[in-house]
Amino acid sequence: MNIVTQTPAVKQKKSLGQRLYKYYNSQAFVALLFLIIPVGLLIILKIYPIFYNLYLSFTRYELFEPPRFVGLRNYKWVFQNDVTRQSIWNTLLFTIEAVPLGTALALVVAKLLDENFYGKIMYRTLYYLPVISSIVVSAMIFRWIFNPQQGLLNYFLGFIGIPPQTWLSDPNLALLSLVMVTIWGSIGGNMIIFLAGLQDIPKEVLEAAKVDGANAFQRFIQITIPLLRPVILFVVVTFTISTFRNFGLIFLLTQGGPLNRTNTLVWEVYMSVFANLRLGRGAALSMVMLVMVFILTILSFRVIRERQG
Amino acid sequence: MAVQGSNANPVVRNFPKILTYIVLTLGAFVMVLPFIWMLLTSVKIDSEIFGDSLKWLPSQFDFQNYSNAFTQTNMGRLFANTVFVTAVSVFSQVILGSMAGYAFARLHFKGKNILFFSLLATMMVPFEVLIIPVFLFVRAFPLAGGNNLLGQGGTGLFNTYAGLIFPNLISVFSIFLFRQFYLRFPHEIEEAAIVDGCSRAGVFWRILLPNSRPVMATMALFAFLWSWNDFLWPLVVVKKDALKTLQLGLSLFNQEQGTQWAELMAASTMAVVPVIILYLVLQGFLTKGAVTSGID
Amino acid sequence: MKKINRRQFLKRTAVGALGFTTVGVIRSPFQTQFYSLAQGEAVDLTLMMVDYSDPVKTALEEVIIPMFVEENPGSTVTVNYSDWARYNEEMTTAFAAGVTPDVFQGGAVWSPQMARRGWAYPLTDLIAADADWNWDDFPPGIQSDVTVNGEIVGVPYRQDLRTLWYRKDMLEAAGFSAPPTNWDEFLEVAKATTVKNGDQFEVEGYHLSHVSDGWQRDWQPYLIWLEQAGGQFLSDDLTKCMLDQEPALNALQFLHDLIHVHKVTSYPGLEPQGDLQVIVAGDAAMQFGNADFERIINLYAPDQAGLVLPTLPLTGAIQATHAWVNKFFVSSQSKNPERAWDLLRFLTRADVLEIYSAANNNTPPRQSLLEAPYMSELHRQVLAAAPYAQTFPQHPNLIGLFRPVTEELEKALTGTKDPEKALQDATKQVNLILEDG
Repeated sequence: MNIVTQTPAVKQKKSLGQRLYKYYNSQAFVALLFLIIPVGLLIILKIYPIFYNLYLSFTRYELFEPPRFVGLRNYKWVFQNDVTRQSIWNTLLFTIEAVPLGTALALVVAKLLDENFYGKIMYRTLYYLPVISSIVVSAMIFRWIFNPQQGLLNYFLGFIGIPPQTWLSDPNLALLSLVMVTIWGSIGGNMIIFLAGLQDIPKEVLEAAKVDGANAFQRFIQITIPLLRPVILFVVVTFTISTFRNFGLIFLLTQGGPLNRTNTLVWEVYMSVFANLRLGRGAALSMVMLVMVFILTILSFRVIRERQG
Repeated sequence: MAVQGSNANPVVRNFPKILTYIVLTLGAFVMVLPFIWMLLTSVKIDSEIFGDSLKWLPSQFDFQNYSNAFTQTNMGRLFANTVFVTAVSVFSQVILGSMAGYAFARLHFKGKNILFFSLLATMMVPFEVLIIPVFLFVRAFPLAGGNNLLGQGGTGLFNTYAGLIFPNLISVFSIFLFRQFYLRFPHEIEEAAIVDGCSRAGVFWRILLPNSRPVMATMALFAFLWSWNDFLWPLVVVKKDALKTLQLGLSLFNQEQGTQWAELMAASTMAVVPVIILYLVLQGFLTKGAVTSGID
Repeated sequence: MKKINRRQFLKRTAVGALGFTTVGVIRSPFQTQFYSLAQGEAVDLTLMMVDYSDPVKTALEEVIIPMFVEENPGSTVTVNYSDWARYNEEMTTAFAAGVTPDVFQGGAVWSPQMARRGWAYPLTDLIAADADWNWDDFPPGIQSDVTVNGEIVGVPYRQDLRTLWYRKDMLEAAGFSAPPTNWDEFLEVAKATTVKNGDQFEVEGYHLSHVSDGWQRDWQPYLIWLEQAGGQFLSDDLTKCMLDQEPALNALQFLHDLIHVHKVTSYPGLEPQGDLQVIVAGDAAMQFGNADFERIINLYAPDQAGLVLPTLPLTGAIQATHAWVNKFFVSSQSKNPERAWDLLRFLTRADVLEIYSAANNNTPPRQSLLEAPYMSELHRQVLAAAPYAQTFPQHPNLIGLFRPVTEELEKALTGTKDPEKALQDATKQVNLILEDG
């Protein structure tokens, strides 16, 4: 970036007003002006609570008596306890199952909806519907869809000869069921972002490839996807984060079960804080979670930068 | 499409288009099915909601559920509260987010990257985790609700509109989104304006902001959805019926002695309709280059 | 964009962390507040209801509260409604911030937890000074459920008594004229009523009311069997888990065999559709449940009325069942605990409790109400199980203790772990938590 100073080349004595204006117009001051409210609010809403959490993670705190310093005991608990170790694994598994597939589906849908055809807006709206509905309502509807006896899913699977499954109560299917709901709920939002990105791809490039004899599939793989890489990164990062912190679905559908197969980190945080009132343990868990996503995000940034370079 | 001269047969020629339609329709069916069930349940009578076999259509349409839902929860008030809270949140997130996004994208200052990445990192922490410290702060808000300057003595912003809105005033996501947009905004325009003697703040207000309508629309929609569908925060921060929001109202149908399914679905339908309308209004903006660039 | 200098980043983060941590330490959110008691003055009380339904709302707002206001001129009562699913978050945040309702409801496990956390205002003295309210009307078992270390911390308003329900039509079709009374008869009936299509159940002889969510999960259905086997969860002094004992194993083995040997129930298997219980839907011949089954039948499956009936609890080693006792608490943070007590004593007074119980179709905990006219014939039959009811031990961290138990039970019932091993492991984990305090 190269916006440089716009002061005249010739040095001359400036009035106070000019100097004040220069100060007022300096990048640092404008930044301060623009950032003070948003960043101030975020400090109160996010940063302070996180550091407060960090502090709590070294204490035993049960709310009814003041926090007591216990050193690294909470962290030891996180890494030595089978249940919490499983929750770290489940969190990763959930992300690995949901993010790549969900992103790919959203991209494909966006690509199909990017073409000009009759009913485009209607289709876009339909795909966006799940995003619009609140998680409480979605979860209630899906609880019914997953019902083993009268559920919609088993009803349709019956047509292709698949015997009824007990989705949310089956240790092998519970996480997968949550992944299905997550993808269902996320396609619309990610699709919108991809659509925006697709519109920015210069039509000339695609036309040129068409003249060169590349078919639609080849153009998609060789031109669209590379050009969309920054947008894909954006989607992957935000989607990963939202999967990591997906609390509502687990709370409303499985409560971490069966056999702890859906107890993600955020669920364990919730259990520690609200069910067991062990705020210190919850804080330690949330710090672990924070570090994990931080690493994942940095990794994504790195990967994309290397590819671009 | 793979059209290489063979456009004799219209079916063959249009085959890719037909295939696209089929795939899209199937997908859309999956997306919409749950809502169809919601709509159908909302007009069923209780004894038809559950049954031994899957029953799609109600034997009679019972719109009574809608009026029941409306009167049971004082839905007019819930709507008004939600609209007010959502409107303020959306406005604030768009303005504050664009200001901060501009600063991070176009201005140079010390510690910019560290500040930005630190903020980005906070996106990863679910609000559920932070709710207790945030709640304590809201309650200890100075000089509000009978509090003194140190935030003691009263209930702060507890049980107020301000308390409801407070955590939704800003989101890291909006800063991120606007930053990405401004990073790609042509520098020439900005430079020309500065040469013309426009201040930096002026450049932002007069040039960048008016040109960021698509990203504003996107952000507005996201902020709207969060605020509109927010549940946990309103639950803990307001106890007065007069301040309750729509999502809290929905939970009133989920009672200890069983859920009132039909009324719940009727109320849910009513809660979703405004969002669909908003989406249709904004949808023209949404695709005009909302997130147009990547990272860096 | 400039690359992040890692060392700089770490340094600055560390400095920032230190600063914020200091702030955190100094400004501890724990604030004790003292309020003066405003005696005889008009006050605004808040009441939090969790156990309610629409008829209860109507009864409260149109009858009960106006009655209270009339008897206590100048006082007003604001009622908040909540649900059990969010109860934990709501109470925790409310108490952390010192903005609680004056009177609130709590579920079966909450007396010792409320007492331990210091959230329940002690009521012993207030009750002792209040002879005409008649505390002795509550049966001893229910009194002890709200008495923690000799202090009364809450007042019960409901006993959620569960007993065995059965399908009269299915039992008759299988040649049984009467419901089972003990485990052997139960097994016989369950085998005879099970209908399968290949591996799929069409009718379960017994439906294990496994809840797919919630911290009680498999613990809730197991508990009744445990109690019938003569076992208990914790030792009487609350220092040891008793699940590695013979009766606990017998109970789990019996349940395990129902699933894996006799195959009269599926696990995880049939699930209720919303509120429609499996037995009411006609997919099971027997199931444990409370008086609420009747309401569900009337609402969602009126054609099933008269077919689904309650009977007495079964006899294993002993005849037993479980009662979940729900209660009202006065908040320790109430500005007017004595006026809050006025509200609580009013709400649990026999005549008022009758209105509430009738509206919710609850089983009230007062002996004088057991013959209340609102109770249906079925309800009275459920009530016959009361003498056999047991309640939870009084440990202040029951929810925390339940977790390893539900997890190990789940392993045993799915067949992934030997029942004996599962119970031993559960016992170990529970003992660890007990030692941890």
